[in-house]
Amino acid sequence: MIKTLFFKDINLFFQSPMGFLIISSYWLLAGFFFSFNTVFVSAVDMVSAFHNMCILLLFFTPIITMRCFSEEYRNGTLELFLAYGVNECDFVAAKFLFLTCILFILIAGSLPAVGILIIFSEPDLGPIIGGYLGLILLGLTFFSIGLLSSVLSAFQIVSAVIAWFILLFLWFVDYFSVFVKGASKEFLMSISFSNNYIDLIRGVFDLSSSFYFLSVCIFCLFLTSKFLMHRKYFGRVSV
Amino acid sequence: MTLPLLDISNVSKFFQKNQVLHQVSLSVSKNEIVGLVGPNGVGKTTMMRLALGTLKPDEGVIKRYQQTKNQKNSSRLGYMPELSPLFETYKVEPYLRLISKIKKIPDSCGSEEIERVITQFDLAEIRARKLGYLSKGTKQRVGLAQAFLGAPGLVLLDEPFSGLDPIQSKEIKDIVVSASKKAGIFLSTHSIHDVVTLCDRAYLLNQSKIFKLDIANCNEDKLTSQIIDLIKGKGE
Repeated sequence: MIKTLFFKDINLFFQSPMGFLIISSYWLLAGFFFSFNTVFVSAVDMVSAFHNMCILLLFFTPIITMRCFSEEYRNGTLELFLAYGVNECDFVAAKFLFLTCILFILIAGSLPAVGILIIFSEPDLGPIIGGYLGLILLGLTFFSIGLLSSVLSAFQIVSAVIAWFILLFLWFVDYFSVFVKGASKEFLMSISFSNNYIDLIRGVFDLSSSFYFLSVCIFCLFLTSKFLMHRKYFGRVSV
Repeated sequence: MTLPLLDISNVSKFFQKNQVLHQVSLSVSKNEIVGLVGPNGVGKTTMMRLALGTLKPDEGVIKRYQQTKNQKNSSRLGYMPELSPLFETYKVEPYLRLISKIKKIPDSCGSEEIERVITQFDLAEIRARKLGYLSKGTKQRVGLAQAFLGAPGLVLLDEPFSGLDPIQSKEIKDIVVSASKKAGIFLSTHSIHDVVTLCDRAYLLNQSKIFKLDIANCNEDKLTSQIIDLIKGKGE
């Protein structure tokens, strides 16, 4: 069932021009920032490219995820599929698999940049591979937050705004640490995305950061499934 | 004695403090069409969703064709909500193929089934057209086709004839009547004419309560008076 739902989502994404537009825009912008850094800033490495790709993902995530459940609510297809015996967890798993696939396509757009680095310099491939793994982990976390936001509303724009709010809040939450001291300060620093992602995109394996992103991702997927199940009792989405 | 395909017993449903259904009971057996009428917003769709299992009752029990937790035979259920549940960018045939997979209809008879509903619902000419480009009535036909895919034992139709022109409506009603020979059909409608001409039994849902309508030897005028009396009598 997950396979059927996954291919349905892939078909829907690529049947509309929106899918191609999103992917090409991401590739274009990621390519522009890499070229700009290489030519004008002389930052001939992938770390700055990964940093820019993270920032781009932050803005592209809600655009990609907002229609995941919102559109199913409005089409009435979620209700239909659940009536035909589709399990809520299968639904969430298929959506997440679809988003993972889109993330790989988005990130794959940066591979020519690595090719250019290999041709014109001698980059250390270890940190680059590590950086890609970090970027994938960060992207999956972003997408799981987007998926959770999508399940909260039947309106795509509302879902997108919720996702942006959560993502930007978690990105900049360490800014609030100037107002507090001690354990609260440490807590805010530890949950900040911007504070945790740096080592990951440098290709340094940081156990606590990896565990944090993985936990957020799993927690969001769990909440998404729970929210879908919760609809059986309350009948409608809450926003 | 054959058990009903759908058995709703003493079901109550609240949305926050608002009681939508109070101690509602009804059943749908094989070879019969059961109608549900009622004013707008009274809870007909809620009733449908409860019958489907996509909404849980706060009180009471709902049984579908002796279905147990481990025996979910989704192809034995057909459902068409008020607005046809379609993906606008999908074409008719791939959409039916997708529903066939969702309903877990075996591949061996899936294609045959798709061809059957395409012929039955007169979709052959538009099988390669995108769903988003179809008229409301045609979308309705596609919605009904997916509901009847896999020859389901129980079919739930939420206002299935809205948006159809008189000829299409007549054709679809004929299909529903013919399908009722092998299945139980539970439909909600606003049309008294549909209740009189199609249904074997009918219920009125009003102010969270359900009333059985006497439709035997009843014409449209008599049934309308009966419904108005029930609504006014219980409403005041």
